[in-house]
Amino acid sequence: MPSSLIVYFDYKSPYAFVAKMPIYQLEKDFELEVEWRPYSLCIPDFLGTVDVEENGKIVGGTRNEHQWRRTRYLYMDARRLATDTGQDLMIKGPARVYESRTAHIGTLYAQKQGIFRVYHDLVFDRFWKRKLDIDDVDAVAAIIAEVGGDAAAFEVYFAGEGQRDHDTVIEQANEIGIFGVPSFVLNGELFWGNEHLPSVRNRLSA
Amino acid sequence: MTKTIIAYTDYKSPYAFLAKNATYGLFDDFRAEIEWRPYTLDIPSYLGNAEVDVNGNVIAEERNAHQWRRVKYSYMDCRRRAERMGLTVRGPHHIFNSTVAHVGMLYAQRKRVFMEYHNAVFERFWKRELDIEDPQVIANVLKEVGADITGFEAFLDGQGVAELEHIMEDAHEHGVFGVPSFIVDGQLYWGAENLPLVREHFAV
Repeated sequence: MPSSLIVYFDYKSPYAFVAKMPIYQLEKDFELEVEWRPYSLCIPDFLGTVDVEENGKIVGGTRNEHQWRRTRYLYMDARRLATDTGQDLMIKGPARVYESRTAHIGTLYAQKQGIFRVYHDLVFDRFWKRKLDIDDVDAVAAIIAEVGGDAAAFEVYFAGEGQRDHDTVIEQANEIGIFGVPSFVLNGELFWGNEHLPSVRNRLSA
Repeated sequence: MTKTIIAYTDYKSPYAFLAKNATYGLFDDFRAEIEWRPYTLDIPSYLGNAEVDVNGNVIAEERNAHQWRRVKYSYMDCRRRAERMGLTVRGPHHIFNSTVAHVGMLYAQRKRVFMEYHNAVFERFWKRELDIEDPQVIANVLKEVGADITGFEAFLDGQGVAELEHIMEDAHEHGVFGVPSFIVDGQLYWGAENLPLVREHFAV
């Protein structure tokens, strides 16, 4: 029986960005069809909130010292991981805490339209260059149009069915026990984090 | 030239426990000088707080749904890793304070019985056979591994705690927030999964 691999990602996670290419490679090496599912991380649940003024100045929020150290580390580490895996990726620091729900509804729409991969690549790439606001419905619609989709139809989907589809995906993920990205569900077994890619690969080879 | 690596650990972290032997491997393979430092995790600051009874029923909690999923995953993942290593990891009933055991570590280092102490505390704690919060229990471990414990009580009441605080402040200046963490050539790595990258610092 062919293996089933579900990958949970979030555009606003630098680790999910760095994991994308190695996952494409897994697909290629094992002739797998990965099921990509968006998981909109609720950053305040684990890294607190940060209030930022328009000029970028931090003026408040609930992020504690531990969470600040963790956040600084994860950006440094994701950049190091990109370099160590031979990827030339631009990973700019965040301007604020993003939600990514809008871009994830865009993912679900792109999947229905058969334009997932180009959409996925473009959103990740532009977001991390800070050239795309993943929470702005017009900006996401423009990407849909750029990759060959129908922006107006996306906006209709976004206003209704897309919201419900998104929430269903998140609820299912939470039931499985997902809490972070990238997460991998390989034949029912859950793995969280880029460091598990070798374990996933080993199991696929077995 | 011998290279030094700083390894931060916490007895109450199953991930730190599972990384212990692989960290020793840096000495075995590269003769690396490992400077072990205790880092007392403040778990409620990132995983909230919870207490369960002997049957595993939650009897008190200040933990959101995200934090619960994270905690459940962590124990599943640790057990999966421990199984492969032939080690035992039993889930705790409450969040332990590892301060006493960490002061014990500093004392063991002074008395040159660190490794024996480190192994005994980690292994017994994760079998739930050792209360790391009890000064008398920790003193007994120190004695058992060959340390003269006449000065331990005074060390725990004064200098030991001050030293631990100093180590924590220094760790925070380096950006440490979790364990196991490693600092080598000024680079910080968090998590045992980074040990292959850490090893590259020694292999060159």
